[in-house]
Amino acid sequence: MIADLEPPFVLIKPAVSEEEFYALEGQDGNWEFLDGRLVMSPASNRHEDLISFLGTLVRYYLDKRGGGVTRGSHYAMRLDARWSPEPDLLVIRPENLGRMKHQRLEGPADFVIEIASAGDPRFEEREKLPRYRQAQIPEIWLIDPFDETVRVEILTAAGYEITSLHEGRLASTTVPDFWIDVGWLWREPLPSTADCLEAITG
Amino acid sequence: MIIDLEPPYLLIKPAVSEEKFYALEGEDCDWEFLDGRLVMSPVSNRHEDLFRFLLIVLGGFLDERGGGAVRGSRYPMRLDERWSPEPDVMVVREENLGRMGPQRLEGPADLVVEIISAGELRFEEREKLPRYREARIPEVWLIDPYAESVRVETLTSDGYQVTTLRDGKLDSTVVPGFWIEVDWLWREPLPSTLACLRQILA
Repeated sequence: MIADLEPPFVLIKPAVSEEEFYALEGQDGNWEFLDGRLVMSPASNRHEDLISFLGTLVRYYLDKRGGGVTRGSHYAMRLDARWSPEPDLLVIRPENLGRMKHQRLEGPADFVIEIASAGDPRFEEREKLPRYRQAQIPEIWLIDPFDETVRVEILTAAGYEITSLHEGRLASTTVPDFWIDVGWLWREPLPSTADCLEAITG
Repeated sequence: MIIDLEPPYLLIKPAVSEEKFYALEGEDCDWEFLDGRLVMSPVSNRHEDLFRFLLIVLGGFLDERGGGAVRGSRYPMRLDERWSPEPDVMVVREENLGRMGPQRLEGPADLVVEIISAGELRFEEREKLPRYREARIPEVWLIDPYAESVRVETLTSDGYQVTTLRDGKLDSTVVPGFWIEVDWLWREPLPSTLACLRQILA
């Protein structure tokens, strides 16, 4: 049945297999594979804007200072046979570059950034975060533009340390000396990446 | 956005407000209101068949013995301003009939029966069951035609007692005297509702 769906929405379909997901990815790259289900959550303009903003800052920073590579939104991160999420942004440190295959990253990234979906703003927190913690991803930022908060999860020896920020400086633990001003994320329009980069690397 | 929407699937849309959900309910609508989101989960033939069977045997039993009213799937159960699920089948005991408004039941039903819509999705278990427990619904049956099991959650003074049955007799605690043989549910075709009712009422 063909339907014309107006975003925002989240669409979930029970998947047949991991093979079927990867076959689909080749054609229609709109799905993630979460706990054996196909999930589609079209990005809104705001969502895309934030990904582009953060992606630019992270990429530029890594290009300038080293510390790994970044990928975003269409590069799968295969955690197991039932889980191949596609985080909005991920960073892979140099020692793990060998795990980057043609179609996906084998295993967890070092730093993951997710922006809450317009279709179901608590979806990432409910569905992806527990699995990310299980995968022991060292650093996770969950950005909620609706609540204007960033939930930061850092893996320590004693488990995950969680903080919630509305504003102020957020420094990465995975990418040394990379930070953002959380207030940038809620500005409309978003600030110039050139200005922000100057502040970060200044 | 053009999408191939072949069931089974789950579609989630952020709702604007509870008012909007109830405005939609007035038209011919397939949405439930779960945690402030509009959720649509189309039903399969098997689901509808099980629904019909249970509605008829419960309805027949209550007509004959009294004690309450049964409703199914199009009548919302308003738990709060973010939650108006529409259980597949629900029973409201006599002493609570006053809470049945023209458009919805105010507050929790006494017995809720959900038929799992698509095995892989485990939607009812993930999304609805926690909220049902929070609402202290005295008895919840989660029927899984894929696994051929029924998960029975009964509220006791020590919290919820959970049992899983694949066969044998399932007695309701909320509708005294009502029971089913669990393996009726897995028969194809389903047994005659009249024959089953006769046994139950015998």
